[in-house]
Amino acid sequence: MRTCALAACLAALTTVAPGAQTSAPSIGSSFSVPVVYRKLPNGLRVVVSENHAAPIVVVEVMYRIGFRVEPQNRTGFAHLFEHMMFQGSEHVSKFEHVRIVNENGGDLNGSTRFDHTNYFETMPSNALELALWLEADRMRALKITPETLKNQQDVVSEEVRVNVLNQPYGAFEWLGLPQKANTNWYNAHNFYGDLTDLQAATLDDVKKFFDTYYAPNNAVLVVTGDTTVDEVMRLAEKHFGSIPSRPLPPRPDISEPPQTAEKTFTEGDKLARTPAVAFGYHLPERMTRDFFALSLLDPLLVSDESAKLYQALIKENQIASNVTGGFNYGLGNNFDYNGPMLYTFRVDYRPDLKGVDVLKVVDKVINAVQEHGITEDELKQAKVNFRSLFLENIEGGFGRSDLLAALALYDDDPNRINTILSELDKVTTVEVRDAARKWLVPANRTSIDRRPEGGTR
Amino acid sequence: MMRATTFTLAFVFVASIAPAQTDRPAVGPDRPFQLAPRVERTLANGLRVIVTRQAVVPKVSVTLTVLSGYSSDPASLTGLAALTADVVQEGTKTRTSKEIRRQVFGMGGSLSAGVSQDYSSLSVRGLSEFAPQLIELVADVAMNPTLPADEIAILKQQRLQNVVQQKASPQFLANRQFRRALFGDHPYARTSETEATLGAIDRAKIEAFHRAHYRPNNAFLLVVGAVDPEAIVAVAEKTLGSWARGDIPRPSFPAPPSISGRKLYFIQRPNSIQSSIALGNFAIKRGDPRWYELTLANAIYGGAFNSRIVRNIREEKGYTYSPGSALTGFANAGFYRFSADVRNEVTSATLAEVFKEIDKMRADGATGQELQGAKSYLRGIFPIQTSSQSGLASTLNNVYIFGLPKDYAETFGARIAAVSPDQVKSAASTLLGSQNSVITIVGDWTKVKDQLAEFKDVTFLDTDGKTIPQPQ
Repeated sequence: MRTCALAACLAALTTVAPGAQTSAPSIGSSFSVPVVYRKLPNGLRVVVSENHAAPIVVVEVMYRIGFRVEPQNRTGFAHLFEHMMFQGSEHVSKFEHVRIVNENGGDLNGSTRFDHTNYFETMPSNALELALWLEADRMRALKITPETLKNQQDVVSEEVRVNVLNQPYGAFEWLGLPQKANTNWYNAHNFYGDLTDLQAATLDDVKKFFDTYYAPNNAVLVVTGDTTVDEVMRLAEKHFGSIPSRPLPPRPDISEPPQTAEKTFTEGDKLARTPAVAFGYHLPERMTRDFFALSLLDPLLVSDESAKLYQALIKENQIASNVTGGFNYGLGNNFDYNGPMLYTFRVDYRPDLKGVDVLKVVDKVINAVQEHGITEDELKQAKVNFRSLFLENIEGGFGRSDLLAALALYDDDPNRINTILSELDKVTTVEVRDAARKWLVPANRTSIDRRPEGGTR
Repeated sequence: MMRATTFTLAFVFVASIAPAQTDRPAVGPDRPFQLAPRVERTLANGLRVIVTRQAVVPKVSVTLTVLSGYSSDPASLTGLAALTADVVQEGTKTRTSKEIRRQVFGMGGSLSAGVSQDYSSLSVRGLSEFAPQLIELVADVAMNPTLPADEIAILKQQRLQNVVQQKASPQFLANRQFRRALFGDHPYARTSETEATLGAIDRAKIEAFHRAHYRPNNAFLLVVGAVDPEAIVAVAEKTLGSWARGDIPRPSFPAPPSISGRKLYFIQRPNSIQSSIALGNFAIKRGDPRWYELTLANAIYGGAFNSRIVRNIREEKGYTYSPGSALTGFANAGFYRFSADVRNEVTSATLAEVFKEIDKMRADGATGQELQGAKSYLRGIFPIQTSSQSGLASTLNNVYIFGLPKDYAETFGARIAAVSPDQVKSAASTLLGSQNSVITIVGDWTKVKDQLAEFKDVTFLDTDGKTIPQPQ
């Protein structure tokens, strides 16, 4: 979980499944998150959520720039840039940010995602102002050198090696699949980075990226925990208030044309010893009715051993050893992105079979939903399950702050944290069936069959 | 290779001339942190029940831990405890496998097993209004499993594929060989099943393991969440009170073998573009009172982001993304282990730096500022880790597994604060092995052999764990 985790934060983040209540007795629904949302004159959004259960605070700054919109000849640059944010700012020298946070009892990290990059500190609440000062200092002025850039180019290259190039399967399900499923460069490039591109980055690239995107009016500051709204607003004004807003470039067209025919790929893997298949469906736009319907079908399809795909693939047909899946797979959850997205699955299957054998069983499971729908009982259970996981995610810490940040940045409405579950509550079995009919069809699917190819024995 | 971190060419990207606060803000006085009091009861059958209320969200964490794990497996049946913990979830006298899964799902949870050297835990987190039903279900699974033969066959097949799949993971291979080399014939060498041990496990052996080890006098129930502790104790009494005691077979723990010299085990993994390194030696068992001082020494050396190893081989030299060292404490022994994945070209340079840092810790201990910083770090992150239900459950689970002082969580900060510089130095010099170390590297020997010429007695293994001649 060291600084800058494309993949470091990954595995734990399967779908942040919200749950939901049925119309009458709302199960576990009494809970709500306190949210206050303001904007500073320079455009910086500020969200405060008080929680006095423990003397800790989370300070998070999320910038609306992710790897989707990085420079076209610099794959992996948004993530490399994230590393540079720990290499020194106007009053904080290289790595001092890390030392100061750790030596004052806190932990920290950053991560680069499709549409944002976030930086956060979890601190004892008596160090709130210190964390805000650190974040403000690097929002105001970054300070880097050729040496620190080269150092992090090497570190990030090792990160890509350890998480992709020297790993069996090479992250094919979350890094490879979007490159095959999408056609618009913004959605279809290697966002962890080609090693040559990473090494080609210059100080000028860093400066330009910072000047273009790291402006207060392109960011949200979230503070959750043992503090007060007044204290946060006073300190936010004090440390961030004088950072000037800057004109932001127009957002490029990141839209993805509808897919009209199934795409299938086979890849050889020199490191893996057993085969796996990944497949993904383009999702409906975030926060639409179809999106909510599929959000509830998801835990029924692919959560744990109870789910339909586990039962079909592992128990009944006994052709696989593991099945996982979710929205924004490997990188986040249903809510923390803002653009074209895949609903991705990965199945590790028996060596004597092929990926297509897995897809046949998958299609049978999905066809049954398309034909017969799901039962009222299943829908109710899915709502409870979603609610339960949603509550766990926003209990405190980074889960709560990150969701508030995404909802402020993408929806301009962090209070939505308290209404998402009721939107899910309205989903009906007919909507689930119809969404499955529309979106979970082969023509909307891309798959990669990843097969061992000699190598590691 | 070493780049100095000079800032001669530094320039500042100043976005504006707006004034910034140049002085670092001070940190306020410590704010007290208190965990809610716990209720602890021992039922007549010997089962300990521990309940604590933590109610930020209306959820509950239920964990039933049996104090037998991998180290209770006969050597030829490694994986028996782990498989047993899976199989008990596959049906009871009154519930089918599907019913168990579906019921837990509908209460907002997922039932899973966690098996380590000394224990097997069944745990579930769900909505707190279902706490009694979740406890009843976990009790049913632990007490009344039917261990269906067809489900056993499926789980064995699944695990068999995992066994093959894992052999492609360099981190898995490095860790497995490290443990095997360190512990030799000691029960703690049994960390993961093989094709052979899985093949030897059958229903009769699972049934016997369950009968012998899943007993109330070998277990405890831990419940953390938005619950009324006294009501939970009553539920536990009702659902687990009839569980029959048993005589628990205990593995015999010989003294762990001693390690002399720097012994290199090289696992040949063709096509590797990095060396995956794990090295270390025995340290202390989890309950050893020196745990606090060694934890501090480790945090300074390599156990925190702000540690010497990270500064050196990541932030100065750029050898690796994720270097670090960790202490692992079991009930009867423990070890520290450094691990990192580095590009082939810097394999021996990394070893040299790691041992240099260990030797420095052993000789000099820590500076005053480092120790102060490490103390603040460990004291600060403790409430962070225990502020969630799952984090608190995990901390308390360790208290009862390893027999730590009952006030461990309440006094952790004070015990860390009380450690002296001499204690840290002494912990480092006696417990962090240097000249005597097990080193495992997973990589491509043909790419790194010239760098490792100093090791005269290398044991070569393939990814199956079999000894092989030196790869050409």
